[in-house]
Amino acid sequence: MMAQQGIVKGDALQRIGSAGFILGAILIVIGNILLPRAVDARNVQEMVTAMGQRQFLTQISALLIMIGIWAVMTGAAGIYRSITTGGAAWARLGFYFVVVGTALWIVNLALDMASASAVANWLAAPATGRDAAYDVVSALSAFGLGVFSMNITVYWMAFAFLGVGMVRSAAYPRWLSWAGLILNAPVASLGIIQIVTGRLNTLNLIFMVLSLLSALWILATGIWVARKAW
Amino acid sequence: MAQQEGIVRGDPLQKIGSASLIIGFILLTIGGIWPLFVDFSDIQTGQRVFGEHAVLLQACALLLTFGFWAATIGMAGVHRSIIAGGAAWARLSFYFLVMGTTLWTIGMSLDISYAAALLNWQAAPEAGKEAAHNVVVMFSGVGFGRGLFPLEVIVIWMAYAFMAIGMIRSGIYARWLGWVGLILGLVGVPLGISQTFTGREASLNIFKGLLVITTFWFLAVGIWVGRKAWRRAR
Repeated sequence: MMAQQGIVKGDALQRIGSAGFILGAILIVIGNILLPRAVDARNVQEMVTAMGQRQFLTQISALLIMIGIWAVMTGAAGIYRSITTGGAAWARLGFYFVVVGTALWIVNLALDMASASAVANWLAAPATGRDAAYDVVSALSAFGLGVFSMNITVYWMAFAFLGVGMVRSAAYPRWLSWAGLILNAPVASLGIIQIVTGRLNTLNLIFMVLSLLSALWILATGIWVARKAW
Repeated sequence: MAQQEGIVRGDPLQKIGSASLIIGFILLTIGGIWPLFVDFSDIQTGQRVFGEHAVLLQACALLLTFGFWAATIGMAGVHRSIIAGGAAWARLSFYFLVMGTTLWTIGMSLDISYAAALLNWQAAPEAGKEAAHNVVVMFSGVGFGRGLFPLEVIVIWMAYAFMAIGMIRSGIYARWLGWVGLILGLVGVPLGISQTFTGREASLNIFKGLLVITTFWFLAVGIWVGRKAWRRAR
């Protein structure tokens, strides 16, 4: 399909991929803005209650983020297939990790939706069944923390690898490639830190800022590819 | 492997793929018969029925998992047969399908754990019943599966829709095969989206119908590819 290095005008995968990056970045940002949050990320009960009290909004935002993540995966496929010589190994590894990371995102967001539903059940449960209902909420939340930390590490490491591939390929502008590498590598390390420290407000804030910048990088890359492929 | 566009006679991947699609149909049919006729439209009824037939539930989950693995192997053959028109869609489809199959496997492993948790709950002493029941709820349709199942449906059927677009655009496959796959995908994706909000149980019968028709689509594609890949030289 893609023997030629770079972005080929009219190539179907590049066209779909660029549209995927643009759509994905927009949906991820909208979904994250809508996602109900607690003020204190360390307070599990406050956090899950915020999600459960606005169950519908949690489901909508999780779905938007999910569709965005899938769209970004199609974009990553386009980037990976556009690099066939220098940096191809990094781009290939990056894409494989994007697939793993996307699967983890699905598990992670499925846990969010399940938690929202479990919290709604807990809030509606009669007094005798409240403790039992909260046990389910608590278990899902604890499971979610572990998955989320691993998810961050794998997903952003994947984009850092793609960034290395882009830098070495010379098919993309150097500023775009370096921006991808510099933005995505620190987010991967945040995941590792969170595994050790648990949820912290400072980490949460840094993650939100970096992931927003990362979404803007995805948008910029999508626009850059689209201008050549379309 | 398959450098030549289309179904190449004797190509090992096409042979394995066509056989896998047919085996997938058989496994999904055997694994799906019992759940197809069991009423578990609400959590309590499902818990009672599954508790009475926990081992059968585990066997069905295993067969359904093997069936989806076989279908994915078959779709690898379809993906590799399309290298010109529609190749981008087939490639994207296969990536999503690998991911969807992984999620399906996780989902089915939850069902296997669910059956085991039900057995533990039934055997638990009175003092430990509540704790054992909490574990059951974790694995049930209101637990982790509540969020995971709809996303599995969306990913897998979106992958089939993409593959079907690839099949239609390639001109290699019978057009009706591609269109059937596309229609199945276009039913599956909104079904999964609706289940995100309503839960699995609310539209389980529609999902069962979709799964039955999809398995027949696997069979049709498997036979169609098999007749070309396995034909003898004249």
